[in-house]
Amino acid sequence: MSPTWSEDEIKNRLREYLCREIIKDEGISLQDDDPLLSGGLIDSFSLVYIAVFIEREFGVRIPDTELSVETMDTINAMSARIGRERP
Amino acid sequence: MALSSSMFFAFAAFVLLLHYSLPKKWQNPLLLLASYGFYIGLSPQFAAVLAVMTAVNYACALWIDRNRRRSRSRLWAGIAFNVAALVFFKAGSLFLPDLLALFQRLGLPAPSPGMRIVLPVGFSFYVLQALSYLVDVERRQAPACARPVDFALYLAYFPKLTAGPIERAQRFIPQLAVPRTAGQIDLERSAGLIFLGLLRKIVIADLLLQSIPAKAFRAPGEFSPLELAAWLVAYAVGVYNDFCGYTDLARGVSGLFGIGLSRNFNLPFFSRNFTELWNRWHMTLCFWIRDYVYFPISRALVRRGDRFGRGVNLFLPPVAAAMASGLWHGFSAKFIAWGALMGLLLIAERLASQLRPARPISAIPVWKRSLSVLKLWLLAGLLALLSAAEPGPALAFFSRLFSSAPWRWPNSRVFLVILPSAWLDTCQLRSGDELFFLRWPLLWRAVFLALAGGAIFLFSRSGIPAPYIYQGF
Repeated sequence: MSPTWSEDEIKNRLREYLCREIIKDEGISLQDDDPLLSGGLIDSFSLVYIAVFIEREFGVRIPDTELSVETMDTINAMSARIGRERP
Repeated sequence: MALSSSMFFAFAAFVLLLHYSLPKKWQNPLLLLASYGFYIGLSPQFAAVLAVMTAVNYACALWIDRNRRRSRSRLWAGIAFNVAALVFFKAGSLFLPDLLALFQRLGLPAPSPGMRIVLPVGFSFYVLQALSYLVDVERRQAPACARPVDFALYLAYFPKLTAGPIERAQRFIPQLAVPRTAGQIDLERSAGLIFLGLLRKIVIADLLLQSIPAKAFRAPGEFSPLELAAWLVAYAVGVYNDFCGYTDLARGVSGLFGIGLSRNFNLPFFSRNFTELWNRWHMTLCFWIRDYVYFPISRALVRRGDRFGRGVNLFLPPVAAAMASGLWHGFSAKFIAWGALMGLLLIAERLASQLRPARPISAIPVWKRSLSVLKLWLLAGLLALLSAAEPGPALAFFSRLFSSAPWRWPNSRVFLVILPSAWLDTCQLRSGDELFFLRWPLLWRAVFLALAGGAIFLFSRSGIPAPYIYQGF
């Protein structure tokens, strides 16, 4: 992944994408620890879109077996998973 | 030997005693021996098939790992072998007459005309474990297991052998690498799971399923719509308690050996839609299909980044996943219809979600959530019905259900048995812990255990426990 991304930038890019493309409501206020899957805001089938976005945007490939509530339930969790691939 | 039988408990207690008496290095070989002993007790032929499947998959994973440049083609060879075996055992009996005729035409020594192909108990479950293991080794998400005993135990481990849960190698095999001592066991939770499993199976599932008249699904015209509605709910709740009870028992027994197994149900009757139900019912199968069928197809389509990919992604992955689930349950018209219907429902939900912004659960009024649950129950009943009857009688059942035929009140015993199931699920939801009664004060816990234990004792004396439905898959 590009080393120029700070943690806050990653979270903001994720938030922007989730609101616009997945939740389809740009006016929604999404916090870093809001439960997305368990809170009913996204369904498990949307995880592939998010995974491909993360792949393109941050260069991190999240395997299919990790696309679950443990890794993808909050913006914090997604950001932490992206951060694991940092050098 | 059903998991809820006294014979199984005597067998498990004997193995448990040996497990903690023998030196640690003999624990895994002992469990493997016990697992094969258990399986040979069901059928020596089943055990022979399991041994062949184990040997081929063990060798195949090492073969994949040995040459990374050819790993993909070797993986496909392994997948082809497992899928061919699955199709042979699941659908072989359909093609057997043609096969015998072919032998005759070619003048070859034909097998006996009375020959049958029998699906080994648990085959559909352990073949999925073998497939996910090969895929994960190829993707470097799991190491190729070098110890043959550990790999053989991954497929054969007796608490999960006959009907899952479908475990992943990354979670199961590392647990075998550490020696297990009696002091490390969470006895309270393991015993709690066994207790809950017996309660769900003997007191709820068996009673509910036995209370449904045999003719209800075959000749629905003889019953009133209200009776049919009651049998439909009874069947769905009965199947749920039967399988959930089996999984709780398997997890509890396995916990006594210090090996954790995955949860298979997460309060499915509180789902608000089918996509959610997919994540709460038979979770280890649904997650397997999601990870190895749905996600790879969907990812490939989304990666295209064009309108075609996005459009096809709305319907191809749900249909492929639902059909895979249907065919896994059985190669017959009813399961194909079941899969097709499930796929259509998932597509309908995906399309609906594209048209409106998502809202958190907490922002949806309770009455609206309750309506969603009711709608889901009706559709879940239809799916359960399709799995029990052929499409023709199932449609006759539904046309009678919504007819204006005179209403007759069903046997109230059905509702009396559904209530404890609803109460258990509600307690689990409110407490956030499947073993909610372990959090209660001692007195309340003792009252609950005495009452429920008394019911288990009473109903278990009424005869041999009915076989678990999912062992038939």
